[in-house]
Amino acid sequence: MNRWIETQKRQTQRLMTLLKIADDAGYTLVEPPYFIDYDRFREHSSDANVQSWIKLSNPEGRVLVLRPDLTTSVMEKLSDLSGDTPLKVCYHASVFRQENQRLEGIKEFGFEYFNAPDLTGEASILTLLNAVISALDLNVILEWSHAGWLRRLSEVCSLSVSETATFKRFLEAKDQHRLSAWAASLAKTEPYRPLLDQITTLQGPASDVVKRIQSLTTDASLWTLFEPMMSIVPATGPWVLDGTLISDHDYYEGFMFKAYRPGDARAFLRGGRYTVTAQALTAVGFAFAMASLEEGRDV
Amino acid sequence: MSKKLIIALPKGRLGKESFAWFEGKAALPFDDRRLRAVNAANTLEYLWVKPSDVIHYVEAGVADLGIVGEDILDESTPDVYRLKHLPFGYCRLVIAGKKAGPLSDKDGLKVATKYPRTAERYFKARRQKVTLMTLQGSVELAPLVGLADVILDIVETGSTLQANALYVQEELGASQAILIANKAQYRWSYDTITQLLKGVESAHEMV
Repeated sequence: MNRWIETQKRQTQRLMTLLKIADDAGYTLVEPPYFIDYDRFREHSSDANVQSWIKLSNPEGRVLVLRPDLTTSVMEKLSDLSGDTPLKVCYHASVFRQENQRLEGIKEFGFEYFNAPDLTGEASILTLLNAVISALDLNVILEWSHAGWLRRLSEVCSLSVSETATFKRFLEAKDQHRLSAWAASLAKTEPYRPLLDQITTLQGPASDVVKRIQSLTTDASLWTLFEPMMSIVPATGPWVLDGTLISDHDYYEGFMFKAYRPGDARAFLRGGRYTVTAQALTAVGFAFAMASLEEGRDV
Repeated sequence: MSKKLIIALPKGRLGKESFAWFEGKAALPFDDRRLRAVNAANTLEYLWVKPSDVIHYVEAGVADLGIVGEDILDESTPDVYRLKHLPFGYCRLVIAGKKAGPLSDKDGLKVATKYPRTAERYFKARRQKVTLMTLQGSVELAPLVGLADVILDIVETGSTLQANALYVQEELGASQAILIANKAQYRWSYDTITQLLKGVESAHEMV
């Protein structure tokens, strides 16, 4: 059989499996809009992401962007959802990007649980994630963290917006050498220098990482925010707390995670809790590229 | 049993220094015409590739780790982890021209370089409009034959500049060898990589 057809057949089988899981858990399949105001996306995305967007203008001169991300697109259609109405949606749709002067459409599948109560929502999403991992027979390691941890660390170190961006850039590359040199050049980081000088080693089972943070700082605000999540995230198995985990989107504000399979070049699944302030909506969810399910190789 | 790690090394002197850093100087010399080799303990596989290709092997996950110059990393900004600055491969990134003295701040300056992105970032920060020319080699020739006013390049000892009567006009920063890792492989091989680095570091401390 033609290889493309074989791939399509496998993708269809996976899609049917995912739709069954979604239906059983009460998620409604939606189609997010294709075109969104550029400004709407811009406020939630890093400069690196913006460069890959496909921009165009409508006849009235409004600058639009061709769906670079599904979460914000779904949010766009839910502006009238009240803040206390739980809503579970899933999508199977493409995002569009330009990379290396090529235009790409990437089909993603995602789940979003809007107005999910704290912790209950996270627990529900983790159950769903486990169902997906099990049904698709995925071999994964999951990195997790809390978006508030690095935000809080930036606050206690009194970092400016540009300093926070520099800090995140070093963390994203796990570049301890440059991070330590940079921190040493800022007198205001002095009380947190032991923590900053070890920050890229803060990874492993959550209880071990929290103990390490406690040994490096007396500021309880820097570890207490992990504790509620530790009651939900399994202490053993594929979950690893990574103190340098950086979100690709600025709208993440709580629990966040990334999944890797052996042989992947990069994370194939991302998720977490986020808020889009313009709509005052909060949600927990995760998404992954369907084609990436073909790319993993066992080692 | 832990997985065998695959390490991409740059061909040439930096690759030899990198190999010696992992395996010890006793492992030198080696036949660098071979493109892949496994160490005696059968725990590491080395791939020798063109220096600028190391980042591609690591970013794509073909190699778990790689060693590359900081100048190349800053130019390409690949999506990899920068795990460790290594004690070799030192050089400086400079702007040099036929005259000594400060770099001209005039717009329209012609700059020849192998590092167009680094040059673009630098001159953008200076708010200076320049004409960039990307060359693949023998960059020092460009100002001598009138192709460019200045060059932006790496310098180790300065002897090539001196031999061509070129003078450093501006120092942009220092560069050294860096150990990089593929993000997914780093996560899957975290314990193996951590043990490897501890072992190598303690071996160097004992020397």
